[in-house]
Amino acid sequence: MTENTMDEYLVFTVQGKRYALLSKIISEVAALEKVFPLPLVPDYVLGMINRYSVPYALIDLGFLLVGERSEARKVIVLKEEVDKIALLIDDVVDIANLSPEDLMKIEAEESTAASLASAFFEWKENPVLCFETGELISRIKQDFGQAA
Amino acid sequence: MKCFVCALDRIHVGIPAERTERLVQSARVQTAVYETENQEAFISLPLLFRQKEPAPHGVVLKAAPLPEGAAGAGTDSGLKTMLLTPRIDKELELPDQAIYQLPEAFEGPFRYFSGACFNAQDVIFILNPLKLMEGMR
Repeated sequence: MTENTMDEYLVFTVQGKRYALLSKIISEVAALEKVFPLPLVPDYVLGMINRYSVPYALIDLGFLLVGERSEARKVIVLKEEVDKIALLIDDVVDIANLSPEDLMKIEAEESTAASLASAFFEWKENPVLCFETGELISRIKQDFGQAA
Repeated sequence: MKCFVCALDRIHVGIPAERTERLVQSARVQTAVYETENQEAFISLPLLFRQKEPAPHGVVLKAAPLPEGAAGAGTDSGLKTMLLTPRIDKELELPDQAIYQLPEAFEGPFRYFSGACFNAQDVIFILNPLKLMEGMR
């Protein structure tokens, strides 16, 4: 296996569980600042945040995944070309360099988290779910339609 | 871009002045988001966001051309459209380069906004009147 086939993942925690996102779709990890609340949005959309004058939707991942409000104060900001979405997380844990063989496909969607994930991997003896951003954005779109 | 700005629930809405004909006082009581009467169409901004707050101002919008494919496409729809709004608080000149598109995931009434602009301590959502009128027809 050569280094070229490895992908970098950001490993982070939400409500004590570990998740990962491909690093290449992330713009930055930042401290949470002012949130502008919005009407008629799904419960897990906390509002908008201002990232260098660009409006980003702030998603409480903890609420989306397990239905519990998060007290977290850090956000993962996705690249603008992915969508203007920021994810509230507890903390960044690690950077994992993985080859495709390290990822195990999720066969059954047993939970919300699993339905938004494409695969999982073992990292330092912990299972880590990899989010599929396409699924996440589709879910938000669908829920926006229902909230309105 | 000059905008007429009103507060609505937890957000501020900016209505582009270039898409409006005039502002009037309104005493109209409306029960649906979109109603028509005597060749006039009325769109309630509060009801679009499921708010019960009064709409004392009417913004007469410039006519929207009929969509492609419709009989008389490209011509005026014939209906005068008035947007019923909460009190217009202020007029603001917002630089075009400060207005950014909303996240693509935003659906529902947010699809009627062309973007948002952070201004002092507020975020102002810029209405796209043409899209709103098309969406209501």
